[in-house]
Amino acid sequence: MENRIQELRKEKRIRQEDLAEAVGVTRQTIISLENGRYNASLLLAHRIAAYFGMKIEDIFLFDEEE
Amino acid sequence: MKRNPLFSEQEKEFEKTCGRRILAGKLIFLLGALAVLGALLYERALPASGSEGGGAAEFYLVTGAALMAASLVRIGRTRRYLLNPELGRAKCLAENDERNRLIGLRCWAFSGYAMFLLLYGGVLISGFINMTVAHVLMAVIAAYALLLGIFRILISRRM
Repeated sequence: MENRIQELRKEKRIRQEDLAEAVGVTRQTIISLENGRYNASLLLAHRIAAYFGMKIEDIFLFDEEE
Repeated sequence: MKRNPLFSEQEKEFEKTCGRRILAGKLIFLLGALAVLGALLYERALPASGSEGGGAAEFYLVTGAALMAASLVRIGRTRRYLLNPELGRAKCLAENDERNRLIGLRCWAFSGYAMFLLLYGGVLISGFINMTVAHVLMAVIAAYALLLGIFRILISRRM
């Protein structure tokens, strides 16, 4: 599943460490999410969406064919 | 940066977990000390020329000492997390990180599959060499399969 975390983070000039701490995960998890190697759980997706003040579907781009 | 109050709850839970780990460490230390004491008493009780122990005293002495050392390291490490809030927070975050948890679960699963295959290979090979070993390995496979089935039932009931 693709996501816009890196794009949004850079747009808002947020460091990976700060995002990681705010949503309660390690920096490595943010890196994996940004690289598309790991898919966030619903809870983490919700926390990330809340952090950016957006809807989950605006950050995580769900592709039904995947 | 403003922190989510949810995580302070997580940190309180982590402090409780640390307390439980220290207690478990103390119990393991006690167990190790008992094993060492038992081994020393057993050695003294043995006749000077006798070798009936068959290395049992040494075995309990070494495992007891190892348990004591391991528990001391564990207690020391856990205490450091409680005394140093920054270190404790990092550890709490790492332990609660969902990716780390998934990695841990997958490691257990893959090592379980590998263990099962190794045991199966062991049964095939040992059958030609020693049937007692083959029977022991088969019993281990049966116990493993039984535990797998029990946990599957228990976990699927909870989810």
